[in-house]
Amino acid sequence: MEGHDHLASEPERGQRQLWTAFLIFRWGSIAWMIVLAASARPPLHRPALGWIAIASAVAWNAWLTFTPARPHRGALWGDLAVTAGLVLLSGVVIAPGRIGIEGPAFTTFYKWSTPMAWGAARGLGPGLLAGATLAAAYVLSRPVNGLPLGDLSPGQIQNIATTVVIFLAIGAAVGAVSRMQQRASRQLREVMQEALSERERAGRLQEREKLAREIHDSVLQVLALVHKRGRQLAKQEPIPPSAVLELAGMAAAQEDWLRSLILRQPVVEPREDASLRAALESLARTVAPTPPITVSAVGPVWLPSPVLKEVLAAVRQAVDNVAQHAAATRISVFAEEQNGHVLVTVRDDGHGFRYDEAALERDGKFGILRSIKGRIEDLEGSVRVETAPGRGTEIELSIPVVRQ
Amino acid sequence: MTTGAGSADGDQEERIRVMIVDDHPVWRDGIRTDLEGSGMAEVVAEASDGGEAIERAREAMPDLILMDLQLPTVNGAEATRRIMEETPHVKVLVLSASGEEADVLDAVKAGAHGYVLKSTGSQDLIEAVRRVHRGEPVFTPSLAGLVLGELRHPGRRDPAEPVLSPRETEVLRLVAKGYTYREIAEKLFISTKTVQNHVQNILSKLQLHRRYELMRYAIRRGLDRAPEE
Repeated sequence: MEGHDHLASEPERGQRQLWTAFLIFRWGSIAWMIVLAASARPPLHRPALGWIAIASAVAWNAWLTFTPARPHRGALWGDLAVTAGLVLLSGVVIAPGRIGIEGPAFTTFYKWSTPMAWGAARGLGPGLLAGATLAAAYVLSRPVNGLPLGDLSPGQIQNIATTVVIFLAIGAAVGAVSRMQQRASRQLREVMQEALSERERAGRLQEREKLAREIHDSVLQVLALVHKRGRQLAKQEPIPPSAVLELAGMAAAQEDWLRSLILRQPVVEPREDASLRAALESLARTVAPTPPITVSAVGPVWLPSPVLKEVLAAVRQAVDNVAQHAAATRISVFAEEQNGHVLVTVRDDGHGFRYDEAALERDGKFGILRSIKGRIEDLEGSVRVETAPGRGTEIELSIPVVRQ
Repeated sequence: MTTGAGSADGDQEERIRVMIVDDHPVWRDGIRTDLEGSGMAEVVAEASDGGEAIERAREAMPDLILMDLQLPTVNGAEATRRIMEETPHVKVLVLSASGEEADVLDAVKAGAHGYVLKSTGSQDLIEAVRRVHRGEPVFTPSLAGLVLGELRHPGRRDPAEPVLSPRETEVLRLVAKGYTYREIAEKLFISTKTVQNHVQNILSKLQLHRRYELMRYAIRRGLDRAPEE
């Protein structure tokens, strides 16, 4: 169903956009860190350490940007550790006792992006947790800078409290919004899926009506005929055996047909796949006059409908070929799945032939085989022909299947 | 060869003593006519349901039983199982409508020696009776496909579980492709007798497999637990 891929990718595309926005924010804040570190007044207290810290932030974010894997649990923890480290280090690289007093903080707005990422990826609780961790690192950076928490002025305490609240609020808010968005897209998907399965149900109902029509057209008509003919016959004095046989023949044909109808009722089919065995059995029953065809299969042998159609067409061509040329008394069709391939064998006990593609091509006898080969090769499969004069012919079609 | 009442003529092989089990009297009559008309078999008993089949088999001691599967009271597979337990020497040839392969598999697991479709012509039916009586397993391609599905699972780990040998798998695939035993023999450069032996072994493995599954089931349900535990 073409709709499914589309549905599945919708939240994923949202996630990708969010991730890109996050990376832009990151690189912007790193650029700002570099500008501030270079132009800080007074200059950085420990410039070497400061530049090493910035270089490691650049390295870490470069990895985040260029790693092919999207951020996972480990990367989130790594990011939290890097950011907490930067926040704590700001207590060391800024002149002692000057943190939060002169100039903006060493980490600039880089530090806000980590609780955002946690909230976006994991929801409200983890967002809060990341915010709280960084808030703690932020508070700790004061004593690291030589400002004991007990000696802070009311204004400084107010500043610190505001920052702590912002850390927590960012993690929680982004987490809540992201969860809401995910829930909404999940609901949307559920609704769409329901609509799709509703459509399928309607299709199945239609199939059922078709069956009812078929039964009416064929079985009921024949039963009525048998009924009438039977009563007429009962009145005749010597009942002609041929007439009775004819009735029996009609009943037998309908019995076979009904039985096949019952058996054809599919059990739960994998979505979009159809049973090759069922298709081959119905082919064997409906194909134009040929030698009798026996069908054998290992399990139902599921194939995607479009592939099955092609395989079936190839089998039909092979059968027609036998009927026209082989003078066979029997055709056997066998299907199985093995090592990621569906194998279909069409075998007859006819007179066989010398298999030489070039010679057959020259004599204009390669047409049907070539068309069978073409079909199967379009499915990236292969065809093997085993035959010899007087030994019948076996054509094996091999079609690769992908199972998720 | 049977040990029953020998024919006085002695110029022919003894006639096969057959019992027919089917719930349709008309069908039984038809088969009786076919078999007795051929001169190679005599119908010594008939039964119209599974329970009756078990009793009649006990009394009449047939050499071979033609068994339908859809039967009232006891079904054909279960009747086969019980008859095989009581009289292991008797041969059972399942004769059923198309599309009942799952039941046929059941019957073969219960010990049946062959399977032909009810739509088979009388000549082929007589031939099948003769072959099963001689001890040849009679298989159809569709049954071979089913057996392959039953016994060939690549992800199998338990060494106690019976699986087909590569040679047996090869033989069974050829049967499924419609090859006769003779054709298989030629193709694999072995004797027809060896092919038959392979098929016979496959049938035994099916029966083993059924026992294995019952055992596994018992273990899962804890039925094998010793009482003092």
